[in-house]
Amino acid sequence: RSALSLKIVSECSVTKARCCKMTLPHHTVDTPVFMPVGTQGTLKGITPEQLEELDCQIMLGNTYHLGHRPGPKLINEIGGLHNFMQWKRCLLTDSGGFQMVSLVKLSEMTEEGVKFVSPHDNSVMMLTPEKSIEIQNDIGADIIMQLDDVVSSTTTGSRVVEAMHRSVRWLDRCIKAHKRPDKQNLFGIVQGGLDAELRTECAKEMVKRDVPGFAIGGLSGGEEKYHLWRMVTLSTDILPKHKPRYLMGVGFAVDLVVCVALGCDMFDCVYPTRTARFGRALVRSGQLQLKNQRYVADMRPIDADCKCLTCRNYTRAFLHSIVTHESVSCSLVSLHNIAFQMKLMSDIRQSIREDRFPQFIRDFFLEMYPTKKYPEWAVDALDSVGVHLNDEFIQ
Amino acid sequence: MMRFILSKVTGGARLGLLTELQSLSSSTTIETPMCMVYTRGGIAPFVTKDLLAKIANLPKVAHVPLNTLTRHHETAAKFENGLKDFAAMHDFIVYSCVQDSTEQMPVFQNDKTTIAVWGRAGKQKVTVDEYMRIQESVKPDWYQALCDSDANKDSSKKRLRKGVERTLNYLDECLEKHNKSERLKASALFGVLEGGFQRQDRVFSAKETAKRPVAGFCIEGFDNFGPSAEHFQVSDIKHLIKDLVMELPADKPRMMPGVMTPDNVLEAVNAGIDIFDTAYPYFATSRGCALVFNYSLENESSEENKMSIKESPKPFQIDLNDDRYTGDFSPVLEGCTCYVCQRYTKAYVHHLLVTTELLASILLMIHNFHHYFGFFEEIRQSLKAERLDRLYTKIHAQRPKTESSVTKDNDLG
Ligand SMILES: [Zn+2]
Ligand SMILES: [Zn+2]
Repeated sequence: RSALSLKIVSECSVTKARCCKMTLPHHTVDTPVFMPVGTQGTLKGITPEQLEELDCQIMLGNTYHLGHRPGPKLINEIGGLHNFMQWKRCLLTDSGGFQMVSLVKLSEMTEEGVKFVSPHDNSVMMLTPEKSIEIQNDIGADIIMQLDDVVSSTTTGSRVVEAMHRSVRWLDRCIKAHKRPDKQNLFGIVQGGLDAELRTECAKEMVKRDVPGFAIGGLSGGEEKYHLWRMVTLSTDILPKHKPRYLMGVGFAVDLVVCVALGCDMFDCVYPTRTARFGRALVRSGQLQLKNQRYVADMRPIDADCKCLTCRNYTRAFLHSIVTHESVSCSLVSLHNIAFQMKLMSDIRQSIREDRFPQFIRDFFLEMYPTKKYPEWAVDALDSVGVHLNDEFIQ
Repeated sequence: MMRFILSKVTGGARLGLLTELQSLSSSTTIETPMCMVYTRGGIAPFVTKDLLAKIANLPKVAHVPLNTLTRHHETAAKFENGLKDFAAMHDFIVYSCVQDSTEQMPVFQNDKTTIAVWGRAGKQKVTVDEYMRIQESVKPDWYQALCDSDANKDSSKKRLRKGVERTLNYLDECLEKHNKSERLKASALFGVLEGGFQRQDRVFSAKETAKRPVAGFCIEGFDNFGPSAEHFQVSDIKHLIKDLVMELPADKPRMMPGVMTPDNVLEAVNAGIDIFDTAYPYFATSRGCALVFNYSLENESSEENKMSIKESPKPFQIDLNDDRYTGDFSPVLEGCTCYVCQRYTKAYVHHLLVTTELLASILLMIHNFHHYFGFFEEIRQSLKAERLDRLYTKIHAQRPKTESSVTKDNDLG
């Protein structure tokens, strides 16, 4: 009865990576997929049509922001966020809880929900699991997220235990409150901090609930990558194969490649568009700070192989001359950065389909780290799924 | 080298054709009256190339003010086709000029040997040598001679006379360097007419400039550009313009930057101006406003639209920042065929403005360009069909009656 179907197209014969077709009400999404974040019903200076041309299949909206402006009732009245922003493909909304905790200073978790002082009119308000789902039902995204009890990923002790159990209880309340399961897919979020036992327990509890998909939450804070990959791989071992796994808040190229190998299907991150605003363009070897004087007469495009509008038309030198001065430069660099993320994911998918993902990983790392000074966590993580970056003899 | 063919004159208004634009494909011609796309350093404000290409009646001329070129020209010089290669603007004729009609011109900053322009690097003083070196790098299709246009209604006679003289001297120096330049061989040089509101100086400036081998004329020096130019009324100087264009040969185009509202554009067209810029739609966009004046002689605008223009603090536009649009699911302008009005509601644009999202300016710039370019197309069609007076009446009727406009004569005169 869910509005999601996941068909596994190929599986990597070495790692846990897989390639799927995820059919949602508005579009069929190829996974592993990167989802750009369009916080307030728009993605920084890019039109939905341009996004479609870049092969973006699903994007995010933020419930906290959209719930405040223009408000759920208005979005519902115009026929949902899809209609309001004229985006024909898939949308995912978060629960609003994470931003509540990170943006609103005075917030407090109670069993009922997140109690907070509105930064707009100073009134005391409450975001309950029911309220979050009600707003998300009004917004109408293809995938909606449960309200979870968010604690900082570096928190330890009883608060993490409480948050984990509460998140499970809140999932039940969200399932009950969800009014449109035939049109929108509610995902549970695995919590449990950096504690393997708690994560395991949470994942097992969540799996008992018949929701269309699961997210791995609470790992995009300041935690060391050492912990991140262990929590991820532990979660994907427990989560059912026939349901999508969404790793929240992860979007750096290296993290994407590793976490795909660990079995994740969906990712989101504000980084590609946020960094564009500061004139930083993503390339396979890292990033170019276009403001830098070294580009003043650099007649190459950002990336000679990139097919985006920016790379087809402009040199680094021209972008250098307008970057951070003309707002259109923000659109141009964003277009490229989204194209970069989309190309990376499509290369990953193709290599999985052709069962050469391990080789893709080795090539990717060599291009990013030509001196082979690979980050230790990535070496360990990949070792755990059978890809040995430092082993010269395995090709 | 560009040629101008005058095809029809009605009253003072001229229908013309710019041809032999070798940088565009040989068959391409440009009809006048027309306006140029405003660019900053060769790129349109807010709107990327692919979206710009979707705008109907997009003019094929891009206007590049000096202040937006401060960091470009040295690199542009490395390209065979200068800025056109550097800024990827091959589908445009490039017009390079001294002052930016969207920026307030510095007052009393020019001296005997330098002209001041305001850019993002602050005030910049340019000598003739530097100016011509920049033009050689840019390699425009047309450009303006260096000029002292720092003049307005209150300028003293002495200051105006000085501006006229300096501008003529600059023109002679520019012509000399132009003729020696290999790179500027195919570029057309426009002379600039000064003289503020002084008839005598204006006529002198026109006469003298017309004696020089220039490809066209640019009429400046009525105000200091920037937002103040919105209060400038062409009707105040239409007799002055008529007198000075008498001194100009008919077969050369005349340009007037910084003319804003549609009623002013029509006054200027009627006084014999051929080429305009797009400072007005740019200003409207930067304020969050949409141009909504009705220039269609077939369609009456809806009552609702008429109401919202009437209540708007600015004539001819609506302010989408206004909370009244929060739940307004109608397009920015009912009946508009632009990319934006075919897709988005006022409520969405209002939301983007309230949340200071970049897409607000992008969408408004597209609609405002579309609307303004469409207005110019209507001017050309009206000239062909001898109905410019009807267009004038229609536009004038939409102007809210203020004290200054009531006292003005209401005809094409
Ligand atoms: Zn690119
Ligand atoms: Zn429109």
